[in-house]
Amino acid sequence: MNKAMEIQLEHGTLKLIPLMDGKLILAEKTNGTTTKGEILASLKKVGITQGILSECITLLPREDIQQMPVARAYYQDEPPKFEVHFGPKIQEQIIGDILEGKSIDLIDDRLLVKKDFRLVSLTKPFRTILRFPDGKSLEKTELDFRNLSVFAGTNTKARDDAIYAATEGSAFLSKWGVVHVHPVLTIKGLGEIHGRVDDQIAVKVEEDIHAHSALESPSNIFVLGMIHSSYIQAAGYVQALDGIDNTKRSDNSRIISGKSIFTSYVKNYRLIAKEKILVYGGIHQSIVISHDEVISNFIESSEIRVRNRLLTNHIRGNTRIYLGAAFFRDEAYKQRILHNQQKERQLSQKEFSIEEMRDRLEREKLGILKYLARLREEGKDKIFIDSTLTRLYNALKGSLVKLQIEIKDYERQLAEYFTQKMLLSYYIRESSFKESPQIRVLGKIDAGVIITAPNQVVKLTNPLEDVTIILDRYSGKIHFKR
Amino acid sequence: MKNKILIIDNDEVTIQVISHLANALNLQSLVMHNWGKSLNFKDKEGLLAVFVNVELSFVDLQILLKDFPQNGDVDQKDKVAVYYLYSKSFNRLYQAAKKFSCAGELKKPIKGEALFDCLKDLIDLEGSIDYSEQEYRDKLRNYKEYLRESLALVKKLETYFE
Repeated sequence: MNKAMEIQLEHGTLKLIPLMDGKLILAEKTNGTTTKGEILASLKKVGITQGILSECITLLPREDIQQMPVARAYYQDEPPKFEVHFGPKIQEQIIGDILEGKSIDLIDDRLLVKKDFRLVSLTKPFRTILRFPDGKSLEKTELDFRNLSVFAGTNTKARDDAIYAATEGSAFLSKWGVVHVHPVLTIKGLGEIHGRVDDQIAVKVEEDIHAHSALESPSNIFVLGMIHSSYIQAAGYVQALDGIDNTKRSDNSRIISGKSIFTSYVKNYRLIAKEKILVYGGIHQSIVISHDEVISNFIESSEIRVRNRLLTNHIRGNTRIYLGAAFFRDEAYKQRILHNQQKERQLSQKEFSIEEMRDRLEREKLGILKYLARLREEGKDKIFIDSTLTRLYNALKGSLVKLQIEIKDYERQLAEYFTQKMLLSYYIRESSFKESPQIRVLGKIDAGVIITAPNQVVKLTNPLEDVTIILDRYSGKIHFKR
Repeated sequence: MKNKILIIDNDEVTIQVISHLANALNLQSLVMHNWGKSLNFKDKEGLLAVFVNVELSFVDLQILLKDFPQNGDVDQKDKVAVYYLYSKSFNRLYQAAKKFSCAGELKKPIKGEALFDCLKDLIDLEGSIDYSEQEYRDKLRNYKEYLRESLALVKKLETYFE
């Protein structure tokens, strides 16, 4: 933002004035009244989303305050960029195949890695970036550390500019940028009789997962048969070649994936994926929640919550679609933010304690030096046997040891805080989707389908064909494009 | 490093506006409600500018300007810019204050742009941009440096006991 602009509010006008080439944004109420929420919404509308000064925005609605700074640029440590050497690549070809109803091959071999396999390589190092209030960023300097161990998860090791597998197994890269490898357990089938399976392994099931099973994995789950009425949770990918069906109508049937879900069809199920949900058959009477994209041949009488894009041939029956980030609660992200805020508080407490220790140490230093000077003045030669001096010296030494421990602890906490901050930055960068959220229907979308946007609900009264429904992020409303 | 400003006023709105803009520029603000006599002001070295409401009867401007001289014979490095704050141009105290030289004047209600114009020449704008990670790194470096110096002193003292 380089030029001043005026924003029309419900009961007034807000003028935004950029200073320092858009690095500092002032807001002025030129007339009327406003609220904090309205100011925040209008800033978002014009793209001012970074470096928001909440305290100032709280004060601006006051009648006696006309002008306040509302956002400022800031420097940030930017996580590196990687090239990932494993995993499925969701290209246009695969998307085309899904829409044509062609099956997707088993992806387990693409995630299988040998010991010492190079999992990821650094393509862009750690660097400092200047982030402007309007979201633009400027790369400044490369940071002088290249240690990738922050991103080396279970059974992996960071060496030079890459991360390698420390064991043979199934790999996946989490949304936080951490790469993990787990050994694979291959089993024939899984049923209620096996109880809850939650070992630190990736699982490959050669036949079906039968009803009422419970399987949790910190890695990937591959099922060559079908998943029936079971609770499945994986930090990585989930693939069920023959489909996912809640045949027993069990309330506990759900599949939660930290990455993507691949299957042939979904029926009466609840699916939640942090990334994509790819179904080359259809989705029937299910609840499907994707933090990224849903790509399915067709959708029938289901509830779909999609953050970025829904791509399908047909939408039938009483389907309801929720489009946009407003319908998602990202608990893991919130937890990390809270954790970081807590760490910041702990660090500031530690700083306070170190400062106190420094003050005490300074006093002790002064005390001992003064005493030494006095001893010299008095002409004492055997000062090493002076008991007061010994006491002062021991006290100083003791305080110094305490300070040393405290600084070490501060360094450890700081490293932990930086790690979490780096992972958060990676997550934010990788989760941001530049294009507007949209629903693309290549074939027909039936009358009666309900589309819910943050500020609008549309029930189709007529069927539509070959249509794109785009969400305007700022107004929270949708528009149709043929 | 000069990174503080002093506000002498009792008007809450003015204090809020100035201190929040200063905060956005990574400056610390100190607030005083009067300046009746010369004070042994501890933080004088870190001061960049003083914003004083000249309409306050309990601010003795002459004494203030003695502490923060504005005329040319002061070393530029040690000079602390004094800005007058006023609300009425016909105010008797303001008219009296005009006899003394100052760095500039700001009419109330204070506009952020005008305030920024006062501060922009006094600070390194690029350096004023927030970089919390670097601040933490600098703090840790300072702590370690201090620890090293203290350990060296203890080692030196140790020789007395040998």
